[in-house]
Amino acid sequence: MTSDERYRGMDAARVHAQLTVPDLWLHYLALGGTGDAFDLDGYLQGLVPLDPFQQDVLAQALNEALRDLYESYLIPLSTPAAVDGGNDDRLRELVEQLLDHRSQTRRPDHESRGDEPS
Amino acid sequence: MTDPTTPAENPPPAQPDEPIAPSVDLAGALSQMSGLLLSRETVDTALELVTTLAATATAGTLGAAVTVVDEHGKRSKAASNSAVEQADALQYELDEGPCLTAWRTRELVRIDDTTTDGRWPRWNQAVSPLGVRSVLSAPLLVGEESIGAMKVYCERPMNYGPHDEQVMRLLAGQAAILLANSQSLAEARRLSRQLTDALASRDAIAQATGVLLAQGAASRQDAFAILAATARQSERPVEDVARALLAAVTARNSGTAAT
Repeated sequence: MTSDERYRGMDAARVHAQLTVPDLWLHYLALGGTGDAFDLDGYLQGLVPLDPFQQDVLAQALNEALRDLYESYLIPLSTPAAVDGGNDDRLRELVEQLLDHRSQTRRPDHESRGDEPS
Repeated sequence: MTDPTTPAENPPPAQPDEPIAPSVDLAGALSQMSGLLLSRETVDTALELVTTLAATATAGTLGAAVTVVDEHGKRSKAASNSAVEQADALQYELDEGPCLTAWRTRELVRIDDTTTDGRWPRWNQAVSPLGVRSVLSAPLLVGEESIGAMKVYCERPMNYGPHDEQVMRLLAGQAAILLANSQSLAEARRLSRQLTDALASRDAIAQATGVLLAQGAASRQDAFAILAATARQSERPVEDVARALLAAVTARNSGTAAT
């Protein structure tokens, strides 16, 4: 995807997610973005460049907003399964893996102890 | 009672049929409104108060309604009874009526008799069966901007005169300030809450980024990419991943400290 297509795609996503530029800026700010609302507005209109890292933060903000919108349309089944707990466990597992992997690469002598109770 | 307009020889309050002393009512109404500003009230409460005050401050009034539009174009309204609510709704359906005219022209509008007035033929015809005969409608002006309109009505024709017009003008002036301030307060509160949430999330992500950097991530960009990848795999927002990561690190550290 060229940078030209990217800003167009992001602005289309913003419209699709029903966000104004100030709303989107708040989401982007919450994810750690450092540009101001004018930077975002200018970038989305193709007027000013945005550095790749800030573009990624913006992309993540848009993806989360789109997902929230999509999930708000989902129809629950008549017998709801306990999905939330499974989702939480999955996240915990991934995070533990992340910490183990990182500490192993940095301190190879350190044993994996992800299943230790806290 | 020390009101100078009330003669001392006439101690009982005004008879119901006589026009009530408006200066007294108005003073109470205005002070009540300024008191509201100091307390933490919502736009809805302000609307209800203004509606009630408009109905009591003009003689012979059966019902009152207030409509305001905020900067996002969202319309909020209050009505003292269902007839006036219906009459109000008809204005927007037919796109004509005294309040819409008051709003658009920023001028006070008075209808002496809806059965003979020719300015809003469709609306007049529609509201006559509801018992709306005389109408007084004032725009709510903040500076040059019209933020809405308020109106009172009576089931008798020729109910409102120049004096009621004056009362409505005064009331509308104060009501506009109150409603505009309630709107800005509500908007400011909403924005402040959103900002606080955004900063809390940003905090968690910044801390999680720090953890990943300490664990060997090459750069902040790299750390964010790791968080985003985990968010994708777990189908959760980055904020949740960051919080889970911080919780896991804290749990490990306190586990280490305990052993």
